[in-house]
Amino acid sequence: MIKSSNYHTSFSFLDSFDFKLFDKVLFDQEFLQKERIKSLEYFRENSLPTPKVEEWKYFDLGKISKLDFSQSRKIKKEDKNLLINDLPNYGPRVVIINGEFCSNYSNISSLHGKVDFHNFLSSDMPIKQVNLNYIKESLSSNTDSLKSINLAFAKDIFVLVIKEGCILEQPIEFINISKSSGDNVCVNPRLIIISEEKSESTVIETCISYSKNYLWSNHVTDIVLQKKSKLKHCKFQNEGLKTFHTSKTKIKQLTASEYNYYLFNNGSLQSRNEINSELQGSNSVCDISGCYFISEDQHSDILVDVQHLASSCESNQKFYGAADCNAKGVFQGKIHVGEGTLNSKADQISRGIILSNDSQIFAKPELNILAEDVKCTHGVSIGELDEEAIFYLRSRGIPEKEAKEMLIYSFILDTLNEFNSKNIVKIFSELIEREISKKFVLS
Amino acid sequence: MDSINNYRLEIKDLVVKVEDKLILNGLTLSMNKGETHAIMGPNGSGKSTLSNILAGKSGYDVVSGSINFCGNDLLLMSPEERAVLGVFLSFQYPLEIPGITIINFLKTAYNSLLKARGKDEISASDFLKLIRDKQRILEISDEMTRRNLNVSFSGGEKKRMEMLQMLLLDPYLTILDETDSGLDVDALKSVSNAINLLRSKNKFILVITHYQRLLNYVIPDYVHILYKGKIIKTGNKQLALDIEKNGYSGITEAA
Ligand SMILES: Nc1ncnc2c1ncn2[C@@H]1O[C@H](COP(=O)(O)OP(=O)(O)OP(=O)(O)O)[C@@H](O)[C@H]1O
Ligand SMILES: [Mg+2]
Repeated sequence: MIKSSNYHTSFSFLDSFDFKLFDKVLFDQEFLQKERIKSLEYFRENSLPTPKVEEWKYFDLGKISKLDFSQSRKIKKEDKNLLINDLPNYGPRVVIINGEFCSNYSNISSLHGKVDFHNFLSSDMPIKQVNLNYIKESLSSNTDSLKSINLAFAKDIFVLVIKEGCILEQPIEFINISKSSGDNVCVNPRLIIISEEKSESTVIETCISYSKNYLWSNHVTDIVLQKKSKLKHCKFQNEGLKTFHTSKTKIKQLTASEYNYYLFNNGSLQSRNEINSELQGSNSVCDISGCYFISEDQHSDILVDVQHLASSCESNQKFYGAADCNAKGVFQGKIHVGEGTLNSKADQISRGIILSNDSQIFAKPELNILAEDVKCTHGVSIGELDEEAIFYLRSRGIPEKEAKEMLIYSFILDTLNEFNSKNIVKIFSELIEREISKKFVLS
Repeated sequence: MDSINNYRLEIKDLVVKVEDKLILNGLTLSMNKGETHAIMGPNGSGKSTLSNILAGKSGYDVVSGSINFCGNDLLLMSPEERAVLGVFLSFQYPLEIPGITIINFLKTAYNSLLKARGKDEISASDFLKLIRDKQRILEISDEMTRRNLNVSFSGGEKKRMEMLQMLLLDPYLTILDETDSGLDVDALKSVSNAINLLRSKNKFILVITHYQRLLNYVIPDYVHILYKGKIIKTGNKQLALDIEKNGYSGITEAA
């Protein structure tokens, strides 16, 4: 019997659970099978949470729960070519279509020796024991509806290992393409990133979708940063307006590691991005920032949860957004500083620009400070574009729409200010500039 | 419409309110091409309001009156359309805009005007040459133009930045709202220099100031006294000297 705080759902994909999917993989099959089945059962019993569950207060899975979703079917080669041809190409990349690895379009051979990439279904490389332990932890079933669906219905499992001491200059791109043609489709990409000791790398995730019907892309990404490693992790969420996007990113940081996350959330009808970082080792730095552009009936919900569980760690959360038409944006930022930790520093700021009468932006900081030696700041500001500034630019001959675009751009750009990678700043500032003029009406 | 109109700025009986407060109360002023007029007047008399109305700022209730500039009904035009006509306001309080560099801002503004006038955009290298030329006149360094627009600029630096914009955009009608306030002696000279450069090109220049000192360099053809939203006296450069010496009381009492 499903609890009253949960929705009833009747997704057809539940009846197409593939018992044999991972039968031939090198990984501990029995373990994986057990966890997948447990996940399936958990979801059958619990389904999806409603807004009565505190965590889901601002994001209603009701629309998703009322639709029926199937698993994706194989996509023809010609169609794949079409999907991939006009993608940007920054360098080494992994292309994933509907959760399945596309080896023909992926190329990370230039990183040979520095990076191991496994996809469970076809990889035959052995995995180190320490990494296996971490992977098992990630693939354990738990009491989370979305993670359960993902584990039970992931079409493959991807593991990226950046090897000890390796410093990668070029970003590695993960392109997640979702496509539906006939039925509504649910796609469940699952990625594990292991950043080994003293390695330094950049990963860019791009999410795009093409669909006539509804699509639900439900991502799970688990990341571990081992001692003294650095990872810059960026995500460009640019799925279409018939797509629901739910995503859980969990980061574990060991001693003196440095994690920088940047999200540009631009797509989907409804999107929920959860980023949860546990600072488990002292002297670590965690920087989680980003921006969102929403218009029409879009809803963007970003939930960041940073947990200071060790001393002398520094965290920073910074999210700005712009909302037009009937769109709704939510930022929930949690900071937890654990008992007994010393010398913690945690900052959080969220800002928003409302571009129409009917758009809304909410921000909800949540501080849970259980230690004394803490420097913590947080701030929220939500308002409209500055009329005086618009007039100043227009009085110099810049047309109204362009003046507003310039002001939004300059406002949003602040979220990239502290991102310490020229390459990423360039890629994202260009994306942001391009999307502003496409997205907002501004007149 | 008489042809002379094409070379005139004609403000007639302008009545302006903000939230039911009367700010301009039947202001009339006309200028011919090539003339430089100064407006002086006590704090709160409506000088900046007049400037803003000329440049097209919204939020004012224009109750009656008209503004004709060279045959164009200014009140019907957007700020950017006025800029295309050649209207330029040097702001009393220039805005700080983080995230927009001066050099990008200037290039965007310059190209917007070219585009609206049906001309091709300027190349990056030609633009750099052009702007460096203007920077030299005002002694503004490249370091400064790479900074964000007016952010953390001193009062005087902001005013010099307004003058750089003026020289670059080469306006037909320039309104200088207390551009001289807060300038040191040397900056005052280079700013006056910039204004006189424009002046020599036969344009309309309206200088709003509280002090005589700018008018020693930029010698006005006419001086108007604005008081309670009305021009109450018009004279030549001697009028500014009288005000400097005696204040407004003699004039306002008569009015
Ligand atoms: N938006 C507004 N709302 C309310 N009052 C306003 C507004 N704008 C101007 N005023 C009022 O109108 C009057 C004229 O203001 P204005 O700024 O034009 O004066 P000014 O002559 O430029 O003064 P100063 O010499 O101090 O610069 C003042 O009393 C001012 O308070
Ligand atoms: Mg003023």
